Amino acid sequence: MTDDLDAICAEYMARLEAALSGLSPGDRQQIVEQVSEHIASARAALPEQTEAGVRDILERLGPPEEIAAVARTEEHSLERQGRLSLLIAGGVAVVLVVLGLGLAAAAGAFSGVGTTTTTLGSSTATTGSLPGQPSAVTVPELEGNQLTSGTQLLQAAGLGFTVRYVASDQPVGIVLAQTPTGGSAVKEGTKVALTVSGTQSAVTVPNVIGESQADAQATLAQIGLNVTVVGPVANDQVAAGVVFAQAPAAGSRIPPMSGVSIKVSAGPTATSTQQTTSCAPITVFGNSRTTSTIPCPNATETIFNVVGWYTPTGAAELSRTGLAMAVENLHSQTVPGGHIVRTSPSTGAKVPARTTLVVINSQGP
Amino acid sequence: MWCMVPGSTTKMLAQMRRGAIEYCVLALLRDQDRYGLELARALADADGLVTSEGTVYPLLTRLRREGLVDATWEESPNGPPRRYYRITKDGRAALKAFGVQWERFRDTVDALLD
Repeated sequence: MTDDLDAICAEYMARLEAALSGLSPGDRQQIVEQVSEHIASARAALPEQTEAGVRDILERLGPPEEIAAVARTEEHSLERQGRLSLLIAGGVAVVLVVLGLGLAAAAGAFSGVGTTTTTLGSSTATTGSLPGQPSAVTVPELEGNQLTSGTQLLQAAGLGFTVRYVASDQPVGIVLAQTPTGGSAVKEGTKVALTVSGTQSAVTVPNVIGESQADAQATLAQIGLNVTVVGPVANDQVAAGVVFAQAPAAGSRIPPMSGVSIKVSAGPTATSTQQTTSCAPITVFGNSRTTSTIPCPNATETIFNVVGWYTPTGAAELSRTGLAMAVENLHSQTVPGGHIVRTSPSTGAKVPARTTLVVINSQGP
Repeated sequence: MWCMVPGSTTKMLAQMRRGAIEYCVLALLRDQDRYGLELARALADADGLVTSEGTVYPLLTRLRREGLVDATWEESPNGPPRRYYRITKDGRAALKAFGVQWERFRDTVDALLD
């Protein structure tokens, strides 16, 4: 039962991630995290975990496409002062409408400001279609394109669209199939049915060892992985600023948006006094290994509850406490993929600073 | 009157909400920190200021980016930890400026409508 409810929520989140494609990775991640937290809090407040209860939460959140439409307007919104005058200009236009003073002026004001509430397909169906006989247009070829750029092409051609999300090994938001196919001649206003990757089953971790920290971060961020930088850590063999270890290893297949840690060299070891004065977190990769660390004087940390959190967020918050961290993946029937199943030691445990905490990340069922 | 057909009314309300909604968020945070769900529900309950609760998150993301709001984690008595949003000094200044403009704007519109 809980599995089914998790699946419903996971499907909603996948649709949201797909709808948000094209936004800056930072904004996208923040919105995904916030909505994920919203669902978790709302579910925690349900008297009983029922399908009706969960569906109500998602219903109230609204269609993912609507959230994405607002996100796009927010991303391109004007500076604060600009917005205020826009409000006043928009408001004056509304007054004109109310007074019935000018249909044309009102239409101009509305189209000039754009619409926030967008329903997929229906918004495009009206675009550019003037009264009269529909003319024939050629359907653009969209397979392999991003949904966002694809819909712009359709819009420009005067076509509508419908979207169906499926799981695939393609990145989220990629158009997998379309009907009618590219090149077909159809009537203007026809809706093209798009099949879009809504959940990416896995991404391949690239090798970033030997790259500069900035390059490694850019490479990993580009494919939607979350980067945790460890260090700089003294290393006799590697020049300062260069990545000398990564986890998971290159070639690993991991859920999209999961975390990758990179260890950056500080160059050859300086004096030992430098190390004793700093208590920077040290991360070990894999829980079977330990690092030789210099203990921080009288420091203990309490492990706070990150179970059910989005893994990159949970790991980032925990690493701020100065704990070392290792991430392990396992299949979970109860925790959605990319979220934390448990930690070891578990919540509430008091541990010396620099203890290695193992975060168990769910890979989904 | 043509502007009273439901579609236009919805559009009109959406227009009016758009400029004011972020200041409503700041106003809700003026006296207390709130977490996402709480904030979204408060806006949805306030005569449908937002029709879809999820649309508050892109807005919060921008307000954080602009430094009008910041966020801290707090443990929850039941369920996962919560991200509490807090209005910043800049946020308070923006809210104050909006309040002044809003009063003038409202009076102007009222005078025209009477």
